[in-house]
Amino acid sequence: MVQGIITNIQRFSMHDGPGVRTTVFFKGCPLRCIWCHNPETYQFGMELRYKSSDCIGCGSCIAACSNSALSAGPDGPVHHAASCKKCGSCVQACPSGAMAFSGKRVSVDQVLAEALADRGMYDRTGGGVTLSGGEASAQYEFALALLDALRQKGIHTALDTCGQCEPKQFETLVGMADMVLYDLKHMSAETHKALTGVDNRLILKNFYTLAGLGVPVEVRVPVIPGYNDDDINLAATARAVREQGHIQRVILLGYHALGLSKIIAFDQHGRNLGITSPSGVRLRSLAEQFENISGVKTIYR
Amino acid sequence: MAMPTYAQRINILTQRKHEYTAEKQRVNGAMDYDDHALILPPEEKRKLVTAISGSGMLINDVVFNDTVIKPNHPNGSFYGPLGQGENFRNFLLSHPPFIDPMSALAGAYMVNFTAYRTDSNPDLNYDALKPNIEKYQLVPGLLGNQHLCQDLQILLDLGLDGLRRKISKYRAINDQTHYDYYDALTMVVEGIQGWIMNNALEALRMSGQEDDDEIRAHLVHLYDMNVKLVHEVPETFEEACQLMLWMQMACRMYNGSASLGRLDTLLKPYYDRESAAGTLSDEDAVFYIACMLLRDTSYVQLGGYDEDGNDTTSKVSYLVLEAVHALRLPSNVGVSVGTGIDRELLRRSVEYQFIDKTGNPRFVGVESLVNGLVKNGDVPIEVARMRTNAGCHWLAIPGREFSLMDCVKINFAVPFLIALREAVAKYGAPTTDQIIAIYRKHLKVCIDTLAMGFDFTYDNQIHNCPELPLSLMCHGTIEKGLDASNGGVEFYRWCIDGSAIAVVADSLAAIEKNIIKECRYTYKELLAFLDNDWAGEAGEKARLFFAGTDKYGKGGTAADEYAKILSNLFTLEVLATRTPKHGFKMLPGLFSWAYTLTMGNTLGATPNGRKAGTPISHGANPNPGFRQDGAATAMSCAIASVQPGCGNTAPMQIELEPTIGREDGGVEYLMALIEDHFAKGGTLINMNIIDADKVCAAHKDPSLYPDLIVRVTGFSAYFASLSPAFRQLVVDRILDREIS
Repeated sequence: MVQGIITNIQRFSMHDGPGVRTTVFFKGCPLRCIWCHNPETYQFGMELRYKSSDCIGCGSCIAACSNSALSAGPDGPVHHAASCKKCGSCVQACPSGAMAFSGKRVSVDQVLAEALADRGMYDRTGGGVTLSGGEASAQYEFALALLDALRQKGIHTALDTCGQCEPKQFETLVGMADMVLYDLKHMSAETHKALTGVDNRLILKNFYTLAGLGVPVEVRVPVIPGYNDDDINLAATARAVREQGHIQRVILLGYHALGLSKIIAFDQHGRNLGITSPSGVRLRSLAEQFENISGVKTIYR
Repeated sequence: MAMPTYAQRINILTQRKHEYTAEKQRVNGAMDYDDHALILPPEEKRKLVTAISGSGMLINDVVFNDTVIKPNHPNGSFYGPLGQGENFRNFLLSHPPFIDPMSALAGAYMVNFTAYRTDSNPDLNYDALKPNIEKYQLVPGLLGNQHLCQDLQILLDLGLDGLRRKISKYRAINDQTHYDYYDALTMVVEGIQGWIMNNALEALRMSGQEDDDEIRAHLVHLYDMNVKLVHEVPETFEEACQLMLWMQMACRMYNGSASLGRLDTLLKPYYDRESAAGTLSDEDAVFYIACMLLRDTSYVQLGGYDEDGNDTTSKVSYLVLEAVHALRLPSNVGVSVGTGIDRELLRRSVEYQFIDKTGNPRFVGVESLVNGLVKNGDVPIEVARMRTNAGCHWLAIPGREFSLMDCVKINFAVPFLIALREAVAKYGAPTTDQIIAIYRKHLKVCIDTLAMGFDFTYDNQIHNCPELPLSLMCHGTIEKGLDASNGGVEFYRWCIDGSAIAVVADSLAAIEKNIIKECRYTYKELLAFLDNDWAGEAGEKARLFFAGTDKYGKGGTAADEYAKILSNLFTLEVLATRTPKHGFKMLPGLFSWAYTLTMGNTLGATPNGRKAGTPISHGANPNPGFRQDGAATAMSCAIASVQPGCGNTAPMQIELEPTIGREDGGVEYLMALIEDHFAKGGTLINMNIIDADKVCAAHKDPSLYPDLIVRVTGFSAYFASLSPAFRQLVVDRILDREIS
């Protein structure tokens, strides 16, 4: 039975496709977007995470570790990653949940059971299940099996993807989904790499491939002030949308600081860049410009 | 000054309401109950007292300092039909008139008549019940009252003189054992008529001193209208509103009675006739209704089924919604939702939820309620369809049912804790099945005790505080000379509500995980932790382990399964039990009302990590922290899964962000959530659309937002009127949503 690693299943989602949806957040992502405030989704495997605000300082985690991977520090337990076997003894020993695993291994059936609980809502609102993350396509077999299982139950599916995926696998996954939510972060390969850790060549290849796959596509453009919201990039993105020719709608997603992870991960990948959210006025203006260039309905959040 | 426009008048009236409310807050202190539209008496007439409210809670209250009470008991109080009737008549006759020329309707009420009696009739002995009431911390609702719904159609058809003629007619038919009761009913009507007349005369007096022609004419009109209504049936929409308001205020003062029933259906004939004749505009109708709802926060149901299963939603239903929207005050309007019920009424209601953010309206799952009552309540479907939302979580068949719904409660956690200790003593390391088996035994004792209590109330309320005003508008009461509490009506389906289901479900799951499966602790250790209220480092550590167990509401957890087991068990036991003396059926619901705090105050620590003295879970809701995110549909599924399905409610109390309303399709999504919950078997939804930052700021300093209104535990109140502990309840629910 195919299994995958997810970080969370969120019900009553309203922003991850049409209608009310259940969003499955896959763990692991090939990108490292500097503005991402879900760093717990970066790594593909299970990760130990420590939340200092929940720690009661009992030391049970340190006492439970038989691999000497934890020691006492001035600000809480210190993790020695090289020694850590991820056995979970510290997690089991932690009363407050301050020490926990990010990610859990689940089967398709387990996800399906939870998704089916809201079937009535999907039927009433034209909703369904969205595979997101992290990057769902990076767990190809699991994503494919889940999409298939949902399809067999007659549940609408959306694949929320950054597009950094092997093309054949990408096509197969898209073919199994009812719609695609596609992120376009920057049109310059060099800048894209600087901002996300990878260039955009594969992403753009898959983006244009979508045009021939016959599935509805909604493009999402994160608007990160100072990083990708300049006129040149947005105009280039809008032109790409126009050229692709099969985009139903574009959503400009204004950066917001809400939900900035307060998790202090052991590898220090949680960061606050101090970015200011774009104002509603700014977003409205950008959306109007984008729509004028792309010819595609553009909204903002 | 010319008479202002309707909109201006509503602004003036609502501003005055805010002033009256501020005055009540100053004088009474915290008011952890419905915001009643009571206006305090003039200062020179006030006397501060401690009283028992119409819902059985100890409250600060104000009475008239010059009311002459005629006792009929050596203890100085008054009981029974004549004691109540005569004193209530005198009370009404001495009630100061109140006329606000800005209102279309005369009158306001100032004092709770119940506040003149501090205790129930001491001659009524329920000593035999006391040991179990105390042991299980039951809320027995002994001599509970007013949780029934009158049929105001009787009043509209007969008028006050008509009621007196009806009383006289049946007094002459029935034997003398009923004479006191009939005389008491007559006294009540006399009192109401006198009160109305006093107000009419006040309007006339004020007109003599009014310079403005329009206002003077209005005052004269109020005089004319009310003089007429003292004796005659109402003929116009406005008159119907006025008469119903008088009666509702009288019932409210008598013992806290709170329901207008199906206001839209009652007013529809007048509306149809006068709007066709061109003598009543929609604006007129909205204003009259608003003036009614301004003077009492009555429970109203809009739409629903008639006895043939047709939808009763009409234009008047929408006008009532408009009136509530225009006022933006605490109110208790319930909108029906179900197959065949006008969906646009639901849409408009949801839109107003987002626009007004006053926790109005509520949503009534009429289809599941009817089906449950038919299936398990032994009520014919034609009658079940007529049942009406009439209170915080309760319903009644207007004029035909007496159930004490919402008066009688079991805190499940009390028999559970007893059972836990007994199981450990008996088995050493019991399974959860063994604990539940013993729990069931204790639960049965609770139910049997409460059943005896119902018989006691049925036999004895007539000697204490009979339902005099409400019985005037019931079917069978005047005809038989029997009070609604004492055999006068057709249906007695006594209601027992279960509370703290989430506390017990989570506790069982926590025991299963931490003791049985993971062997992290022993039962002996658990009991020691509970005895010590989780004190100390070891206790806190243990508490966190137990509290960290997956909770009821998350979905697919052991706690979710236990919650269903507990609800099924409770339902089966209640349905299987009859009251011992009279053989009445009982029906279960799940609700804690304002007892969320008081039940928690007297409850020790529980295995779900809850500390002693802290609030229990609210109604059928999961405990806060039940799910990391995506809480709304998960909660909906969970609460739907524990519905007793017997025609009484187990409400979902839900708090949502205002931003949802601004989303593309947000209103439709909320409509879908409501409909889906009811389709799954849900019965009632109480909702707040509320901004977390605002409510947190108001919690720190209520004066910042004096007009912030919330639906608390089924009732609607000003946030600033609540005690800090009650405000915290609301804040905790909202913060839990934010974490989600």
